Amino acid sequence: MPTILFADDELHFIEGLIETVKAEGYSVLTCRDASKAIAITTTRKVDCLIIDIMMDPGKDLQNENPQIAGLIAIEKILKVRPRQSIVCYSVVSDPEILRGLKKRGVLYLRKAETSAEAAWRIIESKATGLLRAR
Amino acid sequence: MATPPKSVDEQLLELRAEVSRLRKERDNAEKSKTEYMQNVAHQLAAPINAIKMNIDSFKNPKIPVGRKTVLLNSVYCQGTILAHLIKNFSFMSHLEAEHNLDSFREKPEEVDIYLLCVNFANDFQPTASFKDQKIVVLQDDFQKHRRPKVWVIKNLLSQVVYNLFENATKYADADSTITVGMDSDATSVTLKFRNVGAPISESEAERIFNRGERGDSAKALNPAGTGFGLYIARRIMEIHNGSLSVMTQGRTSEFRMKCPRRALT
Repeated sequence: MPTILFADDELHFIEGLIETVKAEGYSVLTCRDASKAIAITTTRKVDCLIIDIMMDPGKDLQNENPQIAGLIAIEKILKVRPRQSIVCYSVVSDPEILRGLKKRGVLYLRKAETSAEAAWRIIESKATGLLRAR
Repeated sequence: MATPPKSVDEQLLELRAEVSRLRKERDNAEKSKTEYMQNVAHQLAAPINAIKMNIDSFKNPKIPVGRKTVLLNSVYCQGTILAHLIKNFSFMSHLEAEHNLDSFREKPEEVDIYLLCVNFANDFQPTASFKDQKIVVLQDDFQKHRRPKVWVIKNLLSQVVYNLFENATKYADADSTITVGMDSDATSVTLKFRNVGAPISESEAERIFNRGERGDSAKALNPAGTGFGLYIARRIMEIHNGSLSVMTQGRTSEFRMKCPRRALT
């Protein structure tokens, strides 16, 4: 059963998507800060990481800027696991940030502008390796 | 001896320095304004998006009925949260001016403060459960004081209670318990919102009630925030001739909301 990790400090705002992924039979893990996202993704198999940009940096990144803690986590995860499937799920839509994500092969989904069904299909494709952003 | 007059060059240099200082000030003000607007937009958008997503997911036949009930409950709670967020912004203009209770459309009434706390505790429970937090309204405290009533504008006092619950769930540690207790004497009732989580330093304890101010650990934990919640809450309490303060010790914070039993007399 593929495992999806949701890293978001406001998990209650993405409850609908989490329920959708669970209902499809996927195993769901959650964490609320960027440090934990790094710890989990680099120590166990996560088929797809869904991560926000603005979030609590957590213990290991406590001096980092919370406005971009998710991006810092992505950077660090890709250094250890360059082929990790990642979907950046955020309301932050700065074109420069989006270009940076694209360059790293990270798919960006804008919160609220993607339906639960569409978001699920994209996550499923990333988790099963059918969709490659590179 | 009189100071010799400054040369034209010296005066020009001073003026240039002043222009440069003013430019920096203007740029900082612009930056703060932009950040503030982004935070307001983020705070309003988040619950709306959650409601949209939950309704969308509700249509999925694969999600079991039991989980759908959870989603519906979440929609209701997000709606409540959104309504109070919007109220926070609309209260700003009222509260900035020197208003008293008579300036508000609603009139003061007798409010069962225990019931108010229990209702909000229920509204925040779904949010809290995502962090495995428990919200406990200490019933014994209220019973001991015979469930005191306060004479307030219910809508305004609800906003204070809402803002304190919101803060507590945002900044309390995961897997911790948020308690709401109370104390009272002949003239006032004090609600005590206690949580263990983001520490508030001694120097921040007064500053966090200023308009737009947020504590350092609060900023790190939750980047999107306007710094209005506590400011509004304190202003509302002042209008009721009450007070709002915080006692901190390490990672424990206790917000004390003191409300006169009869604010208008």
